[in-house]
Amino acid sequence: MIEVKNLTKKFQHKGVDVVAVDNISFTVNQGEAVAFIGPNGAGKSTTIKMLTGILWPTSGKVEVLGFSPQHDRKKVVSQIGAVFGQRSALLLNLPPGDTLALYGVMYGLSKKEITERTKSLVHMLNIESFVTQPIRTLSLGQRMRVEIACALVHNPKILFLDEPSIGLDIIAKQTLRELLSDLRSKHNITIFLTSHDVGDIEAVCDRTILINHGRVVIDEPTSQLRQRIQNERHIALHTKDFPHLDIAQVVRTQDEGRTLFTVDTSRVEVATVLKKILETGYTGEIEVLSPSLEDVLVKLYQE
Amino acid sequence: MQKALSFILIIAKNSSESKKKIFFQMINHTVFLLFSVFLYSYVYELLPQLHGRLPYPNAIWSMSVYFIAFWLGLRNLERAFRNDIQSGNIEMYLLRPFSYIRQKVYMQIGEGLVPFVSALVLSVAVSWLFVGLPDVGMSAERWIVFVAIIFILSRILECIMFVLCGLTGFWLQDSQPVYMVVSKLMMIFGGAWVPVAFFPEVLQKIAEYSPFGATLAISYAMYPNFGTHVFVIILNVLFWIVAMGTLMHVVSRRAMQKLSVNG
Repeated sequence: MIEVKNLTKKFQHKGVDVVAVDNISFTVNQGEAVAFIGPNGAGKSTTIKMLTGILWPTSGKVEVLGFSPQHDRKKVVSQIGAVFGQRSALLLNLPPGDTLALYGVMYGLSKKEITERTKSLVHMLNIESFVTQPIRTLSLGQRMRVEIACALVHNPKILFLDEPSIGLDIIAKQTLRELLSDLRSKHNITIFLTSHDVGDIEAVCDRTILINHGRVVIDEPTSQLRQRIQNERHIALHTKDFPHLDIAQVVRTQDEGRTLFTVDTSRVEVATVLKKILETGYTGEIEVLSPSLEDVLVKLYQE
Repeated sequence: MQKALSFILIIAKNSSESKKKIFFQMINHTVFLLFSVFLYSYVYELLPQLHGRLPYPNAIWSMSVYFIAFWLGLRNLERAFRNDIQSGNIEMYLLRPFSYIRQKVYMQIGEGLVPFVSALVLSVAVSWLFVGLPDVGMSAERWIVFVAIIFILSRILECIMFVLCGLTGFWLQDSQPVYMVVSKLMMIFGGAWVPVAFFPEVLQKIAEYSPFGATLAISYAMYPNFGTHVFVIILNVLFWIVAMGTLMHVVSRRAMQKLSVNG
């Protein structure tokens, strides 16, 4: 469905070549939900733009649904949908139905098809309550739902999402994640998502590709990512003045009024560290935490 | 064609939501028209010999059609390209199965449609009311048909010219300086400031046969010798459409390969 082979993109900046994407390769199969993540400037957006035909690669091969997005742009874009969280092309003065109609016209749908598809998307994305309001009066979360409806108007096989949850509140994020999961499970749409929000990745994607400095660093099931630091535990004490422990395998850090000890359980047991803490006479609250996916990603990004 | 029309009508609907804005634009247009009618009347009284070069009714119609073309706002295409390139919003348009240029042209026509139709009605009404129909050396019916043909062709050329200006933004980032030069040449050679009939003869020829003058060839349809020049005018515009259209095709292909949009 998506095939990327030795893909490279260089930009010229003041006469110097800057490598944004450096010889990456991967494939995505139908029905997969893939998170394509990495720190800022890693090359995520550049890659997604090459996959959608916006940018031309410097070298390498991209195939989406069997076509080159650059040479067969129309064939590719008529079968994919894309939502870019930081951009919008909605018609602000008109209600969502008119923007959907515009997209329907561009994708060559008949009047009847546009009416039927609009009706079904309005229901699927729960747009009914604001379907008659001009888009300029909608909240960010409501607008995002309209953006997704526009991306789905032509029944795409793949949905590309570039930071779709940016700026949304937690309820809108939750709604978006449920919607994307539904799209995949009920309509078998392939999802290719870039996001800085770990919640999006955990809720929607079963595979994660991590890119850094333009190169693929990790490509594995999302569930396995957490196991990369399965031996790590955090012990949080609700005091910021706690002294260093005399254990070489424990790292002490400060975090919002807490003292945090990071323990490598393959080298020292949590019980040993707790015993050492209690021996100091500390009587405050103690929390033992497993690392979150965010912790895993922070560590991987720093590596 | 059906697709284009539907696209344009949806954009026109979006743009005409601000009815007050259009109302004030049309007041502005009417004031301009009336000012031209009275200013030219005064100048023709002072300099009656001008009638020999371009009769007063023809001068009024010439100015009037320039104003009509102005309201379609095709010159805004350059600014639309510039904004898209500088903001990176161009990527949103490249995700659709329509060429970027077609989308922007349809959007601009849609945005200008209601002001254009309003200005057309007002201009024809004011000009007819004050000076009647101009004598252009052919019957009114034929004149209207040729005016429509030349208007459409010269608008196509205007689109191409401003798209070309906008495309320079892929190399320059800011295409405004190019736009300033091209739009000023169009205004001068199209007779926006002073009808071309008042130019010295050499300059008249340059204006008439340059691509800049051809974009406002509709002004020439108001001149007394239009009946004998009509096919030369149409061929001239057609020539520049083919030449500039070919150039636009080549430049746009290169521009898309040069595009860079940051995350």
